[in-house]
Amino acid sequence: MKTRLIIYADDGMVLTNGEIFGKEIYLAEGMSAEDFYEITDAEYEEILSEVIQEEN
Amino acid sequence: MNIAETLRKQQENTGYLEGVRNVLMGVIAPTGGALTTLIHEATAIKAATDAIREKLVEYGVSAMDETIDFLPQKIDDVYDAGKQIGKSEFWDKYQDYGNITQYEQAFVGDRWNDETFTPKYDMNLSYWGGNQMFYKCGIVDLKGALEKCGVTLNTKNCHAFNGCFQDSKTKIIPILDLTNADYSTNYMFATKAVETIEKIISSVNTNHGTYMFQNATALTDITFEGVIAKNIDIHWSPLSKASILSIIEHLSDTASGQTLTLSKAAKEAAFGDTEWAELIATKPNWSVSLA
Repeated sequence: MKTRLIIYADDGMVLTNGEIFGKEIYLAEGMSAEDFYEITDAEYEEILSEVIQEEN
Repeated sequence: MNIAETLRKQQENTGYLEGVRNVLMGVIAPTGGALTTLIHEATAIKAATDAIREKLVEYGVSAMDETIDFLPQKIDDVYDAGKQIGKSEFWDKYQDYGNITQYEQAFVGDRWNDETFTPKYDMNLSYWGGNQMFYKCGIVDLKGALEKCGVTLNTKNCHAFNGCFQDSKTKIIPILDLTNADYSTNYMFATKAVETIEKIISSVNTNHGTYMFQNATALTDITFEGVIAKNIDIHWSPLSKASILSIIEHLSDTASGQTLTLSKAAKEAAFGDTEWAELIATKPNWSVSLA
């Protein structure tokens, strides 16, 4: 039997480990939920905007 | 009214041969000198029309079996034939008779649209050829435009596709071989217009770059072939169930530390909990994020 660890962000929050972002994350084998923390939706959008500016 | 004027009037009504016949039949009785003039003019008219026919045929317009009445009808044909020749010569130069491979920024801007984009030669992209190739272009149906022209877009040897379709109006994108797209695909499909990508051929080398599908908020249909071995974030797109299945089916079974990011809403619209759990269980080596 195999299990898949799923972590869920609270309303208005986004989960991240610095590389992966999501409201609901199905962790691959070997990954730990302890590597993830929550940021707000606004912080997530700001990160996206910053990356776009850097790319441009 | 002299004989020539009379003959011309006859020609207007019945054609020049008929006019000549009427004169010779005595409808109009010319004297010797007038008859000579009449015959000379008829001969000249025939020679002129024959010359016009030959010229039209030279420029690709059917004319040899036409009567003298054909001239007004053929004016449009002549004009169109001229336009086609001009267009052909443009593409000969723009594509260097099919030899050009550097298509970086070749079709930037909305003046390139379904009417103006009529390439004559297959487009075989070089290493950098995909960078902003269709950036902000106005082509709506790229797949249809290529098929209409009978040319292909060959991307297998291209490694860089930065902003290839970024901010374009392109809704339908044809098969793209991204087997060697290992340099950059950032913002490749970053357009709110794209709805369908016929197929992406992916390999272990394909870099599904950061924001490859940024703001592709109309993209519902995409098909993959090959293997997806690196992070892919397509959460902006309300993908169909078939599209999500195609992506997951082609996720590498051996890659590690990679993540697939999908639209949470698209996933919930397509799958029940049990079906979803069974599906992602087939790829335990992948993290799947719903954003």
